[in-house]
Amino acid sequence: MSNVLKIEELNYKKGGKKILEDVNLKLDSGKIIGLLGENGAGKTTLMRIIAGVNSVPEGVITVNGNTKKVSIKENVSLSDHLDGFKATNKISEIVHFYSAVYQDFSITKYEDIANFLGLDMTKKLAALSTGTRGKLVIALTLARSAKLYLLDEPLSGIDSISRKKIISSIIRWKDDDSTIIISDHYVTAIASLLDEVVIIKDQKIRDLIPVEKIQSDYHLGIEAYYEKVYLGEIQ
Amino acid sequence: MTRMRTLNNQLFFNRWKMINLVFLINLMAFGIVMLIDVVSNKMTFKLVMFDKWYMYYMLLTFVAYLVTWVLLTKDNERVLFSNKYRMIPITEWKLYFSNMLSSLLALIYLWFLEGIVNTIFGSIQANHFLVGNALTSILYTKAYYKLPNVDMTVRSFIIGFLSITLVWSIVTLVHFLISLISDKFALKKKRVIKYVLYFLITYICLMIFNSTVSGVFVLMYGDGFNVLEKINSMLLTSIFIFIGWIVVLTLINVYLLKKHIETDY
Repeated sequence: MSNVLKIEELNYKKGGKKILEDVNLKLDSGKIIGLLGENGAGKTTLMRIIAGVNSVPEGVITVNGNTKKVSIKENVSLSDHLDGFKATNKISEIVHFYSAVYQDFSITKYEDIANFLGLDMTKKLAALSTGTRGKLVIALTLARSAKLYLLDEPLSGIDSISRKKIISSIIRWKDDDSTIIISDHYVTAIASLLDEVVIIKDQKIRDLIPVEKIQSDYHLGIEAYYEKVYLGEIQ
Repeated sequence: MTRMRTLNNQLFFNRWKMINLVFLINLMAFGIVMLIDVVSNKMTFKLVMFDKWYMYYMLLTFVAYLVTWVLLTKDNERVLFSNKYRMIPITEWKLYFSNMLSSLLALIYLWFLEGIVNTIFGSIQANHFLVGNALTSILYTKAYYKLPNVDMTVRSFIIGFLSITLVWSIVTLVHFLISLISDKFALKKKRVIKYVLYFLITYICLMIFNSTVSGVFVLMYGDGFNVLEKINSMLLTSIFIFIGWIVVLTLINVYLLKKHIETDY
């Protein structure tokens, strides 16, 4: 199994404050990885750095063997919260934009996911509920054929029925050789999806551990393990 | 290249819609002004009214250009700070150029639309010999028909577009520097400091620009430039100075965009 993502000696500061320190991480392809950490731990920043929308002041990011920003962007599909689009934009216009600027965006795949999630192409962005907007973000992100998908809090503020639909779509439309990193506060909600867990604590990667190992070595669920790591009960 | 063309089309299409809206509002405002004028003249229509209407139109057009310039400036900045565009697998150079180019094209499109209306006015006035109004007379008789030479007209237009590009480049630099400073340092009272920085950086940029430009002109035209050829050569010098500044600012802006500038949303 090859490394889809390699992060070496990454340091990142913002507003004079350390956000990430000495981050080193290697992830194998084909897995679903949970990126866990408390609010402000640097999960979103890490995802944005990997996707190339945040600068990399110190360190090297390699995605699928590429270190150049453009090649990394070609290989990474980041879930954008669509704040750059106007409220009056229809879903069809957003889909048209994605298909125009991303060569790996598949309209057919989008339509399959959108049908499954019940998205209406004629609706305007302003008319979408938080749940529907979340579904749209997932459909747009997964409709690209990327090596690495970064889903930043895809279930945040979303009702349980929509959450289940989104989780089902992630499982259903994930390619075998692609990797998905999901960050979320709802550890329990995404636990069933995960192959591995990365925990960020005190600006550093505290742990990269397979879910099987958590169960076999610690006899714990992911959430309980995560809490114990955060409380310092597991070193 | 295909992706850059697609991006250009996307950016231009958004701005094309914006220009159409501005032009439509401009025409509607002009229609209302004409209607008020006709009503206040007891519904009588005189050919001489065209002169006055033309001046109203010129004034509204000036406002339309100003509004368009502000909207395009804002849109330029929005693109460079937005995930929507920064996530696209394209180099910062291409994004920067596409952005600038589509804004310039949008401005040329507005210029073209306004030009059509101007031509209509011009032909009506020429047909009826209504050149009594002083401003209209200056605009049509002197500016269009009695320009000393074609070179000067072309150079003036080039300077017009270059100065717009230059101001956009300066605005972008100011925005980038402020973003960089507030990202690097922990600023309390961020909003106040941002405004102070806006003022300070703009002032410094303008000072540097002004002293360089005036320095070159004093060196080259210290003995005055009241001769036509000298005005012409001054325009050419200005073009080179503007291009030089645009190149320098573009290099700085693209470097900052590549290395330091992060998206806001």
